[in-house]
Amino acid sequence: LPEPRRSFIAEVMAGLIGLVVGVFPFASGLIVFLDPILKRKSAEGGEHPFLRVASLTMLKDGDPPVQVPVIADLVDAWNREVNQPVGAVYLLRKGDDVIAYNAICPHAGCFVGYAAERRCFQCPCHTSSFQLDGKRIGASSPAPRDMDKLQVKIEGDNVLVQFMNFYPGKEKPEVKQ
Amino acid sequence: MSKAFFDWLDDRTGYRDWLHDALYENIPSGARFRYVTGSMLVFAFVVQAITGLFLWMAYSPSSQTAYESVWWIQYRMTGGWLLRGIHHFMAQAMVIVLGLHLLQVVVDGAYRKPREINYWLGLILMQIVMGLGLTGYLLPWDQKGYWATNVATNLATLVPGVGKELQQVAVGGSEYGHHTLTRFFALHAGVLPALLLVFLGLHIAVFRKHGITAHITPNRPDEMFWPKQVLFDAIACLVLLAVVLGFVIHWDIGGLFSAGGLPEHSRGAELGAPSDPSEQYSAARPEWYFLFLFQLLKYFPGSTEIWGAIIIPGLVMGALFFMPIMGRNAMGHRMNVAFLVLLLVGAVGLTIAALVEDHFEVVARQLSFSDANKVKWSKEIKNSQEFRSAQHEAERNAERMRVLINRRIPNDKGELGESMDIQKLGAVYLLRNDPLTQGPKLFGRHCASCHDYRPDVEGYEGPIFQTLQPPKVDASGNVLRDDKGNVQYDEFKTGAPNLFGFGSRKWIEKMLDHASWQRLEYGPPTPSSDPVIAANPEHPDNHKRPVIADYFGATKHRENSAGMENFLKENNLTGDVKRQIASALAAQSVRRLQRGETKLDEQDVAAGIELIKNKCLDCHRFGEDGSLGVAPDLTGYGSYEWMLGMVSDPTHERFYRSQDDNDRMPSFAKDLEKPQNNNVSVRELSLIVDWLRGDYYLDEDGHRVLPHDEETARRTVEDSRRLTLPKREIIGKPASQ
Repeated sequence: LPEPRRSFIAEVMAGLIGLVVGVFPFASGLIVFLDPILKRKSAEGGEHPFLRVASLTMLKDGDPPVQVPVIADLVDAWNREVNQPVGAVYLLRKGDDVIAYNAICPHAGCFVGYAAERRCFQCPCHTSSFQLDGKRIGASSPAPRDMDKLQVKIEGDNVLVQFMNFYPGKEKPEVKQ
Repeated sequence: MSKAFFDWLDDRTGYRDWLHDALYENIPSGARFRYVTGSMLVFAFVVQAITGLFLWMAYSPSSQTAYESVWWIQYRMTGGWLLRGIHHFMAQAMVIVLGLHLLQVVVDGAYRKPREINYWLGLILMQIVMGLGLTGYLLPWDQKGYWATNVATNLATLVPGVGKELQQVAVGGSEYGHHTLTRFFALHAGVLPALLLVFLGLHIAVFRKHGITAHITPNRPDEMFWPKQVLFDAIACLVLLAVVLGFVIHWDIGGLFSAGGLPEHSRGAELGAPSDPSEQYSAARPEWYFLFLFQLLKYFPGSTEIWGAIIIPGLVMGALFFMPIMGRNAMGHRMNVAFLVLLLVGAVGLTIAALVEDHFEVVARQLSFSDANKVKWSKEIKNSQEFRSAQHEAERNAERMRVLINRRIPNDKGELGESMDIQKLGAVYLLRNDPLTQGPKLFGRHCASCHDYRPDVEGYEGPIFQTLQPPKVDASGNVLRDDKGNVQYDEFKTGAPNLFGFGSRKWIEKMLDHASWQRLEYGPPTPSSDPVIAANPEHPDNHKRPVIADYFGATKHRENSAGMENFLKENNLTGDVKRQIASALAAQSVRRLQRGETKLDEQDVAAGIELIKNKCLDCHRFGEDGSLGVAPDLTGYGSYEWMLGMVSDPTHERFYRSQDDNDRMPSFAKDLEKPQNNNVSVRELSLIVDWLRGDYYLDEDGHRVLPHDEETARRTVEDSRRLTLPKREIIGKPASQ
């Protein structure tokens, strides 16, 4: 067997080249893996359009609030389909005003139901409940904030809602991009 | 000969050394059953790898195909349910054995010097197994997995700093879709198993370096791993497999040996209805071994959520991590054991709490709650009722899904074709476009505030809608009472015909009776089912009274000197005339017979057509005769086309003509050019109409029909608005011909 001979340059070069050939495929994969974040960063600041969700005359004054689907283009990676349900909102009419809530619970993102008898919104997952004005019920409600109110515009008989989703679990609503 | 071969093989590979190393490990004081848990875990992993690889060969991760491919495995592939069942239940068994293994390691102090690193490797393995469970739950892409996993990825956003990025990377975007499945599948079948293999290799290598943490019994001789301990391990694995197989067939041993074979509901793992992000799902729960985490979240209000979701689980993992350091002395070791036992008790307690809350309704019934207790726990009982009814609905939808996928339509000769299976749009479209599933929901949302759907037949099991009239209330929100203490009601303002059986002979026959045309009665109010409200007699919810107006008693058509009401009053039609006219009109609806309705009598139809021509054409049009302009067209009365035309725009010339004559019936889809301006899409109206008419698939003769598709529905609405149409013929022969 030959004597082990030290060669600093050979050791460093072997290490470096090994690192490069190993890191390169990993990095090229990682970039694609992180695509959702990288794409979101470049798309930030997009305006959310107002979408028609109901007709004013069809909404009864006062409670119970009605749950209506929000219809828009549904984008799922390579699929884009027009006029698909992309979410749901609760509408509550008060005179000529309409309040709209995103139906998603601000706690962990479940779909909130409406409990007609108790006149409140009730989340089926972790027992958060909300008054008709969207306020949390009970000091120990798991939800960190009230229900997410959406901007409403009324044009003639059409009720339009600026639909957006929010991150659950935050004290202040933060828009999902 | 064979010895020469094995000598040659050993010379070339050195396999005897490997085998010797693997099998001849000394076990101080000999083999014991208590040493089997590690081998059981290896066995469980191997089972998961093998069954998983075969499942992989039939699974297709995308939001259009994931559910569909799992459905195919479960119901159509030979032995598919068994394969899926083993994978599903072995995963759960693995979690239990893992818990035992950890408990054993800590109780025996096997984490102590020099085995600290191996203990940590074990903790990493535990995390990987949990990760496999979490990612696997989503892959069938049914409602349950979809919504439960949604909560888990949402919680990832709570991680400080990089939470949102973490969630985006896991989900492959901000919302669930194709890339969520591709990523979860890559994790579940690639990354995590590879990591598990690496860490398992290290775990076993380090274990062999230090040997087993033996229980020494004096005078009990040492033994080698082979053969006795291997036999013990094999027996334990056999028992594990048998128990798992027991769960796979839901312990339905009788069913296994019954004539028809194992019944469908005892076959392997559950598969719900396909995931639908637009469909509220109130029964979302994680797999049982994550229920304690789910329950923990309920106790952390508001912005403290991060404690339940991340900090406490993190601290617990941290505490487990530090056990080898804590346990250096006897005191520390005892504390470790106490901590772990407490942890397990806590997890079991939380799991039970979660189950009790979800099934509180049953608990209250079993404990025969007093009225006071029912009031006290009303919210919990109500929540549990909602959870359980959502669970039942989920089961119904899953069952309906199977009927729809297996639907077979007869050809012209009446022979059943092949089952129609799933189209490229995916299984969720079958359910979304199923009148039986969607009709009642849509009716409840859009029609039931005025129309009843109230059966008048015995033994009806299905949705019922009954309009209720609220009482007048005073300024404080209590009911308004008169001097005698009677609750006051407004003159009733809503109440349109009961649509149960609309278009049938019976329905029309009754309408032609003056008394039932005008009938308007109120049923006794029913107290609220919420005991808190029911306890307060002044609460308006306890005084909502049912309105019984089968036809036009609560509309402005109730009294009309120039209309139908006057006609009925003055003519007082005989029973025969009513039956004949009703038969003729019912014939126009070409409606499927539902619930005990009998076939129309041809002579009645013929006579009825004559009668209509004699009596009705002053106001109505009927085929080529009569004219529009005064009252609704009777051509095609009650048919799909007529009903769709009516609900999409009752103010149209063919129906009530103007807002004046139409009494508050909304035009749900007047604008065909700009469908986004309609309150209800034509597709949804078609589902309601198909449901009312009974045009939905059932697996019995005469019921094998497909719902109308969206394009047909749109064209039908267009047709319904043409005043003259080449083919608008009367169905049935008039008597004179």
